[in-house]
Amino acid sequence: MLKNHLKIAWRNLRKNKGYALINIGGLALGFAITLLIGLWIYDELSFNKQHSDYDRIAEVLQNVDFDGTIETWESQNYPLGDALRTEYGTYFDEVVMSTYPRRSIFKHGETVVGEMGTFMEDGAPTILDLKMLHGAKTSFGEPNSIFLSATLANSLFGEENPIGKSLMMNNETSLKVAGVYEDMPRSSNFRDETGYLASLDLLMIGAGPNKKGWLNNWLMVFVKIVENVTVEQASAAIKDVKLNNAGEKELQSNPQLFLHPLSKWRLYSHFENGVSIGGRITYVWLFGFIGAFVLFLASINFINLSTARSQKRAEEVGIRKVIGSSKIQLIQQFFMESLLVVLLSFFLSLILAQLALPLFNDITQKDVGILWGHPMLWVMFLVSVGLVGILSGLYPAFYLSSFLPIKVLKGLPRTAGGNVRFRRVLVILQFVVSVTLVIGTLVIYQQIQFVKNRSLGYEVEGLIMVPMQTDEVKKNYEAFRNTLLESNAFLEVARSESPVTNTWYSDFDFNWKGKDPGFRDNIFRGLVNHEFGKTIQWNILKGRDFSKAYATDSTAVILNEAAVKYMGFEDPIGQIIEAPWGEELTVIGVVEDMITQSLYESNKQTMFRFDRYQQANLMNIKLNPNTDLTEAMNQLSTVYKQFNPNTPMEYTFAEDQYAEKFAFEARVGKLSGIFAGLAIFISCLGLLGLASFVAERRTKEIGIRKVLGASVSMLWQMLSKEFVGLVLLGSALAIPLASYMMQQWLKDYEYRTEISWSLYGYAALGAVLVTLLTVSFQTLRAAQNNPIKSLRTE
Amino acid sequence: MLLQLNNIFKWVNSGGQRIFLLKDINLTVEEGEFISIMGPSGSGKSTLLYVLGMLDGFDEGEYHFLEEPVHTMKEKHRSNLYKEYIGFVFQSYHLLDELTVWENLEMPLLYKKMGSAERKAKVADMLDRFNIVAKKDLFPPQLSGGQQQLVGVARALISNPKLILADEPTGNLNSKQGEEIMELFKQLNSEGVTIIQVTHSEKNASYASRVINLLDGRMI
Repeated sequence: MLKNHLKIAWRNLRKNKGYALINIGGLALGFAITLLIGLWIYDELSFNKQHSDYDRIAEVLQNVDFDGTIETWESQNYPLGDALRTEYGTYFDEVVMSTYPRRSIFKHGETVVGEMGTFMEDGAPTILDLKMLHGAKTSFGEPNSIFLSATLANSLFGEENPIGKSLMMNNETSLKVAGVYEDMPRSSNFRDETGYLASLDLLMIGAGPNKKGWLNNWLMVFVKIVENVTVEQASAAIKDVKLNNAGEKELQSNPQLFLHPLSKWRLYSHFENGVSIGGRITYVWLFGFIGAFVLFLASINFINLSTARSQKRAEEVGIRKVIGSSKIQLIQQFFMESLLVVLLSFFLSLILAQLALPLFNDITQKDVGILWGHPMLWVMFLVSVGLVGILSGLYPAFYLSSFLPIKVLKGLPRTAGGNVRFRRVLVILQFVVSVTLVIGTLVIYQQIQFVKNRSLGYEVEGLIMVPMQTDEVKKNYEAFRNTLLESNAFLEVARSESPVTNTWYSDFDFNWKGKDPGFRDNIFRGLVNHEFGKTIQWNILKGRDFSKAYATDSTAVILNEAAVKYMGFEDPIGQIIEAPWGEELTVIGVVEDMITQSLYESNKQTMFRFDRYQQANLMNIKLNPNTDLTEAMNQLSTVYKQFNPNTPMEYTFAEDQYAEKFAFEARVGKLSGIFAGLAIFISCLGLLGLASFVAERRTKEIGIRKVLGASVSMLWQMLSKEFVGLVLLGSALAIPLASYMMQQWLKDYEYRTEISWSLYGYAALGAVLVTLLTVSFQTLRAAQNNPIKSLRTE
Repeated sequence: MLLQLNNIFKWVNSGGQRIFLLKDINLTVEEGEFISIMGPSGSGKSTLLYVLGMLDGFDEGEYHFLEEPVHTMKEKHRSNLYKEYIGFVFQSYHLLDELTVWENLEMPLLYKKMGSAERKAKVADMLDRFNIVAKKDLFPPQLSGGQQQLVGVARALISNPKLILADEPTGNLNSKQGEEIMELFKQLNSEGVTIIQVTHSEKNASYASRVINLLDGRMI
């Protein structure tokens, strides 16, 4: 009997190949999307979990108060490490200070490699949970030794064991390799920062008081909490460390320390007013929601399409009953069929997901794979197959099996049956989701376009940035610059401390005329030289640019418009600003606001200071727009090598850095675009289900109308009208929903686009067009049928 | 006595009016009879046939089948009764298009939960008897109308029913095919199977030993 059921099911599928393809394919697509989203969520939730002390690692953060706005800083100062160790040693197994990742150049023999890594204190191997390949964890911490990641060790030393071998760091320090560890997994926050690990002591050799004081926040501090103390307890204990130790200036901002546990780094690292308000977790929820919805829609669709055809099965039910089938047996048969189809869909979805993985990983920048051996996959498999199978089997099983055979066999007019209303609601629901997603995608792209159109205040095109990583490069700067400028491929070369696309340093405690004594200032810093403005083509609005003609420019500053406003200058030129280190700075010019940070925030008050001590270690090179890029780059690297044979050249295009600023938004836009496309597709399947159902139901009516003289186009209009109405209703419901959601999304961006009404119009229009295309296939077929045929079936 | 109908009424309510489909039908059928039901369109022939076949109910009256009261029986019992004793033949054959001839014949036996060996023997026997062994792996749409009806009759017979109910069995067939089916019925009847058929054709009706005429739901 089972065999017989399966046979019938299989033959039914083969007989209606197109239908089977749409039905199985649609469901498989839904399963596949859900599976991929599930993998994404799983990956996000298990981030950092490979750490063997997952629950005991935390980072020390501080909340600082700037005139009522509480900012959360990661950076800490050097004395904090010792303070935590001596005063709160009972709470921590390890306190490890670490620099932010730095790029260093390593040389062994003829091999030269640049790599990102950090300088950390002795406990680093524990904090990072290093998996040693060579050497012992305990050997970390000697200033003249270094640990290498497997990748770096391999590129420097090849296959041989490098322990005890020496290498040159940045052409100036000779270090011995004391350990080699496995590369950090991709799902670790430390991944990009641990190409090498050197001792912080090495960096502190000869460091001035500035680096060692309580005022300079330039380090990160990680801790491992002792076994029977909770994060909350330790966090509460260290709250006032800075208040108890630091000087008056630090206290102005009322620094409050707290611990941010490893388990929250990935998903809860967005702070507002000193409180974690989430972060990526928002996207986890959003995607989870979308995933569940896609599965829901696809399943309902599947049920919808399956049952749309159930009328065709009515005759079979009648016959089976007449030749002796009981109701139970029929129910079994229909369940068997739907389970078979759902099963096929599920396996197809595994194939689809596997095929889509490379693209998926590319877009999401992940490294996930289908976890074939993971019990969750199979639990999900059982639950979803079971649920969808049973649900889609329910309707035919119970509705059809209850048919009185006589009705179908005698050829009495078939009752329309089924829930037309249910199908309509379904279609509306699907279009609410689809149109919402479409609007969301459009708004995201509009926002990206909007910020792209924002005036940068400088020219990114043809701007190349090359870090000066070793003394050799710094020493040869002038000669290198002059040689480049001899060629007409390069227009200008200048130095700056930060890339113009990313200014992250700030100073505070300046003083100027008219400053409210209680005002706690914080001003961003651009350390630049004479040619910088010309190189990036900024616009001086008042006063003048830095110039070699004025010897006094060594203490000159140029403010941006925002800074002028921030400091409240009526007439900024000539104003004297007292720096916290005692110098008097003179404002010589005002420059148009430039986007040196986030594209989405208003411009920050920034002071461009002349780099009199040549601290700025970034070369900005402006290409001549009329030269061939490849040629210019060849020339650049030749000249660079000529002057700096021992330092490999690394460069970034300012344009790429600029694109980075909306890379995340672009990625979200791309994903939501894909989701929107799939939602539309799935909704069309739902429409198709309804259309074929309606077409079948109205066969007789269409026949009669035709006999009475209706033309195909009139019938098409009549049949399409209903669907267009449904879709318009769906759109009408989606617009306020999408509008609300996207307004919320845009709220996160200080600089944001307005959603125009035409955008909603386009989305609705698009939905209607897609609808007409989809249903026309069915309606035209129904309208073209020979009426004699359709009437005779009655 | 095979079955007996006493004062059977069947009606539908339409527009506040009661329309009678069957009106006071009294009928006794003995085992081994061959009955034709005749009458114009809408006279209630098919309705009567389906009432006899227990596929359709009635509103008033009594129906005894093999001395058992069908009108008070539970659905399950009734369905067992008819699975056991009644076979149906339709005008439009009503074979399952997705199943081969063999599988179509096997179906009723599967529903009776008969063992595999016995099923095979019975199906083979039936194919042989109707001379359609060569067609056993074909699907119904691949057969001619006459052949399909042959399969239809074979399917009705396979569970050894006492009664065969045929609703215009030759209605879709040409005269030669029709004649063959009628000859088959005659032969089955001579082997002891009771047959009740609905027909429009005087000629087919004449194969029967008794003719019942219906008009507006009444026997005349």
